[in-house]
Amino acid sequence: MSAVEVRGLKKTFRLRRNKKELLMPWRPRRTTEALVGVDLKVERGELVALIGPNGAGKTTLLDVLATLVLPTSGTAYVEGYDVAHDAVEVRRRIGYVLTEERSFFWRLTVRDNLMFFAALQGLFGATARERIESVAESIGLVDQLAREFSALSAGQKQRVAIARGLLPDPPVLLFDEATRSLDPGRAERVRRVVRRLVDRDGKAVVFATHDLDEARDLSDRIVCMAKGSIACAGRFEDVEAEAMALFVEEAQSEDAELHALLSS
Amino acid sequence: MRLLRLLWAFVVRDAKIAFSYRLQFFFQSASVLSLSITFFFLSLMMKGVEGGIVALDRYGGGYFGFVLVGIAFSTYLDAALRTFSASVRQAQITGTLEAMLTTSSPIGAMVFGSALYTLLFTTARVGLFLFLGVFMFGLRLHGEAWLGAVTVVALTVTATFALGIFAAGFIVLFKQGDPVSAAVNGLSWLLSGVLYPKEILPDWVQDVADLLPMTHTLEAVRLAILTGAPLADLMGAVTYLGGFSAVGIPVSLAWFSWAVKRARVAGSLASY
Repeated sequence: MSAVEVRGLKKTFRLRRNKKELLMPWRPRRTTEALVGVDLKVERGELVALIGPNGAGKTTLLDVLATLVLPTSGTAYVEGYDVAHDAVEVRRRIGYVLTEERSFFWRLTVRDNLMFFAALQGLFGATARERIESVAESIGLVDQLAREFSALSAGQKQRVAIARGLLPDPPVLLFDEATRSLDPGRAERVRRVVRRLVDRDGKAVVFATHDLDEARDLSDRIVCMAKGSIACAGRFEDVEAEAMALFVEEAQSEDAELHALLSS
Repeated sequence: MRLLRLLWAFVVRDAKIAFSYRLQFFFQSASVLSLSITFFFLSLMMKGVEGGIVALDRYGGGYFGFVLVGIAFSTYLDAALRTFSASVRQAQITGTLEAMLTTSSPIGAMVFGSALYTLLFTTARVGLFLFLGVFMFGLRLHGEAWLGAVTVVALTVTATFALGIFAAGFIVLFKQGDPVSAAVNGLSWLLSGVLYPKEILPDWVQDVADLLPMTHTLEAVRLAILTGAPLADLMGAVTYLGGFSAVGIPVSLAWFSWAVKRARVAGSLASY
């Protein structure tokens, strides 16, 4: 059994009606396909980098795995549990590291924040405190536990987000652009922490990023996404050209849009 | 046991956040005093006429006790309606909802837990209203009727929670523009007898007022603590509030679950 197994996953979102469409409510709503038949397998002790330009479907795929979004069709299993029908069991087995700094309580200390999220994961009292100390120790947060969350730097906040994901000691970790907005030094420290979780603790990690260098340095395997489907997959060396082409294509498309805008 | 500890974690979180805004906490408590003083002087002004208000006779005859109980206990409705939808909305905006929803705790427990601190704080405010009424303004309360009052308040909490959870479902689906809170709160203030006895309203309006849980709450609590009416005399309110809760809680939870499922399909669970 794979840690993560996705087969033929599709997700179609209905778009909001514009003003003209509001006058014709009997017409079906327009849709956009965020995921188009995605297949993916991630084993324990493996780190898969999910790369692709903005809007490729990386976050939607992570949201489906984290049970925040229900797939339209296809299946997704985490440690053998179906994300659509066994959401609670899936949540017990994942740690979703969100990049949003806002997803914490800024007036509380780091420890109070982690105690609260530990309680949501079924860890209370002394057990929770021990777990928080242990996780904080492993990612260099011990000195920050008593500080108010609002007083932390961006890198420290990011490490608190990782600590939160690690609290229940899940076998599967999902990272959504975990190093975004970090300076190169701090981003490198975060990458080392993530890599160690795979090598030392045998976690299965899906790490979404649009930084090709990061994907190369960090991952065992990369999966490139474009327009909701898998464009290439394999070792970085084998798919580097295809991956690069995706970003070049995006850049050219943006250049064309910008040129048209400036011309008009 | 796990559920209780989880709920306690919510109370601790919200208490710590509330105490970190010390000035707001102070003003929320101080407003009890200012409201009590305002209605005390209003009742002094009415001294000459309150004997002529027949509708007050049922509740002991004095306007101060009538209005203090009305103001104090109506805060349960206000708190329940606001706290569920506000806590969901705030969690959407701050991004904590997404983080909470990826944990293994049931969403119902999270929603209920988010309202607990407000419920406890509201209870403390109600206690402060009554304390000031008794020790500062000489109000006489019938402590022997506590069983009836507590029963009615407990059922009020469950009935208003049903409305609050229903309102939160709208927030999950539409983010803003929850119609339940505005309608129920507005109608309750107008018709339930918070500031004046509902008996002075036209008969057909009283029939509408009787549909609102707060009408039954205020009537029963006033009868209990202002006149000493025993639990047996409050059975009408107990039956209505109990029935409202028995139907309302499962319906509102089903509605909320459906709203969450719809939001998962739409991918809008954590968006704002």
